[in-house]
Amino acid sequence: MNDDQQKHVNIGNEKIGIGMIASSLVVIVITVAVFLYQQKHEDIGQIQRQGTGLVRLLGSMSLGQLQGEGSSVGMLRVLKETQVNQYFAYAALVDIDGMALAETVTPGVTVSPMVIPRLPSQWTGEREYPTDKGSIKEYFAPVMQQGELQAFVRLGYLEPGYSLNTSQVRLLAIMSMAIFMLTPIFYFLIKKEIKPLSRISSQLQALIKKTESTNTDVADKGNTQDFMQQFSAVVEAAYKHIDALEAKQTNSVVSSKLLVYQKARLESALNALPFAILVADESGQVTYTSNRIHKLLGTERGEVLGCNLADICQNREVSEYLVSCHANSAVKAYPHDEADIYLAETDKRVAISAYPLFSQKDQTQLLGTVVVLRDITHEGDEQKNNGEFIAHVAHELKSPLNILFMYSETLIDNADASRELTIEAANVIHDETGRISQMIDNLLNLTMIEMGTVAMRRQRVKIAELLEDIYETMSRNKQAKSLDFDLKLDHDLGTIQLDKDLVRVCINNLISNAIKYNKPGGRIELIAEQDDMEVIIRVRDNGIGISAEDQHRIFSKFFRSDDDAVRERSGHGLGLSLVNEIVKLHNGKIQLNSNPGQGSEFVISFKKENNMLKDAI
Amino acid sequence: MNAYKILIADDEPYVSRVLKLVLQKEGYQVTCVNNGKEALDLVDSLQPDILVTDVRMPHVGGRELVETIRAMDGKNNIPVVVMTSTLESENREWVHDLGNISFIGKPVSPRDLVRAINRHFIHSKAS
Repeated sequence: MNDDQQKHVNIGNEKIGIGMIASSLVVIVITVAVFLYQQKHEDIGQIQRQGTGLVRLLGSMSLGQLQGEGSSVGMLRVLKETQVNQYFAYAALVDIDGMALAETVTPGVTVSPMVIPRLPSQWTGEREYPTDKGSIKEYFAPVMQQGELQAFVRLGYLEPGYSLNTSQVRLLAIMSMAIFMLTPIFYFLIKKEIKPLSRISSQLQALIKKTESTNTDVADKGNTQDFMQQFSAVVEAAYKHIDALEAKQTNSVVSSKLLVYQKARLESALNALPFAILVADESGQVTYTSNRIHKLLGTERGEVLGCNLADICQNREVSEYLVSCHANSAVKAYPHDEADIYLAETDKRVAISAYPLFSQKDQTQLLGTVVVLRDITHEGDEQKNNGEFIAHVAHELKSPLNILFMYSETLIDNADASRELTIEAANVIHDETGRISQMIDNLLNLTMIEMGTVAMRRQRVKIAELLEDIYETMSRNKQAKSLDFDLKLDHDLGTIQLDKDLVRVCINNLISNAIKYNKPGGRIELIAEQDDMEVIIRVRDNGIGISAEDQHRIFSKFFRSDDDAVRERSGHGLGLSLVNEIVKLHNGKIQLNSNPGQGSEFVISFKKENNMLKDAI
Repeated sequence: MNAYKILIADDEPYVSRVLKLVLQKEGYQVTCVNNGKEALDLVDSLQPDILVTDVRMPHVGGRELVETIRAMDGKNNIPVVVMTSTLESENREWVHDLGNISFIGKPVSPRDLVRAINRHFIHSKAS
């Protein structure tokens, strides 16, 4: 403790001493005041009791007894002589008209006249009236003789003042002495008690000075003020500390919200992956899984979380694989190849691989395992489809080649072949090479469209001109010679943005089919109509028709009906598939209406230019 | 002139037509059908001495045709010539149990086929 602080403490102690003396005096004054107040009330009470009791007693006496008869002294005089009460003012006897019969009065007191009450109920009572010597309290009662009202007796008392009797003064003196005696004792006791407080105050001040550089100017202030200031400083420091904590808390709330957001973003990214991800801690317990796990393993995400890697699904192979990864918690234990496992529970083939997860600080510390599960159920499908496609193409190409080979060999072996055979062979060779050529064309177009490598050459095509051209070419087809060919075009069909060559292939294919699958003497119609929105092209025949069963498969690649009437005719199952692709490429629609034995109608609709523009907008 | 009856089942009309042409020239009695089903319908009444069939045909294919015939009383040993492509030849195991079947690969040489059929009947006549 330095000198300044010592000085503060001493000044504080003197003030406490003076304060205690002052307070003890105040206590004495208050005690005296209380005594005086109490004494006055006791006197008033005594006057009340004495007055009412004595006036009734006097009222029961005869006039003679009161006034005194002969040699006997009257009661009123006795009262005066005996000084019945220090506040006694007078005792008077008045007749029924208020005239004084006898009275004894303390010197200096004047007895005021009495107004005689009329009603008997008011004959006994008390009243108060002021005089020069102060307020007088009077008690009165009737004096009766043989039932007759003779007179009134009146007793007056002066109002008691604040005074103490000797015993009370003695008591007060003793009390005051005691208080004065006890004051120094209390002083020393208090001084002893506040000593630690002073020390705390000094320490607080030291603490504040230490925590903040500002020097509080408290040198001239008293001890309590010092303490309050120091206390305020502490409170202020506490506020600052709370503010700092709140700022920290705000920061941590923001950080945690940011973390939650980042976590959500990361999770949605992981869920968007085409794999299922599973993370296990170093003990092999699953701590995270992406949503896809359910699709692959058939186990709910919630069930997997917290599970051991070995128990994430019922499949033994999966469990064994994961256990083998994690068994030694050593990097060497992780297999390099992913496992290809079929899961009967979900009817899926899953490629499963596991990777060790290392600490960023220490690359040798293994933190857990990341497991990646990939759905490979359909992975081989594309390859399989490609294989099937090639087999189809080979088969379809080989059939006409087979025929060409057979006819050519027959011609070679039969040098003397008949003219009919020669012509037939020439026709077959012509047809089959045409078939191969068309098939290769279709195949190339189809493949290019499917691969997206076809270069669309859209141009404004006059529909009427295009269809007339196709009609001319097709109606010259020798196969169509026995058929009735008809072209019906709406007036003013206008133009559409089309790839002319592709659409020509498309309509040619439809007309070729209509010719091929027709009956002798059959009819083929090429119709073009329009409405506000579209141009509609119909290729209609009354040929063999298509069964309901085949109708929905007719546009599939390489589909050929098992119908004998179809099988009699050569075909490779690519024509309609190509038609469909070309129509789709032009954002058009194709529809088939057909009844077996009655014919078929293919309806293609292309949007008009203005509508295409609207769609584009 | 022999009167051996040959049944040809193929969904390619031109194939049937060439084979019919060359076999008829050899003096065989040739009947052509479009698929296995038609062949089965006819086999009872026709009583062919040899069956020439394609593998891929609508309704009833070559394999089903041979299996059905092999299960028939009295006709279970009709000699069969199966015309197969290279791809189909990979699946020839199915005929092992059926017996008395020979293969001819596509493109089918009419010359080879006629020769094989002739050889068969010469052998069977000698035996």
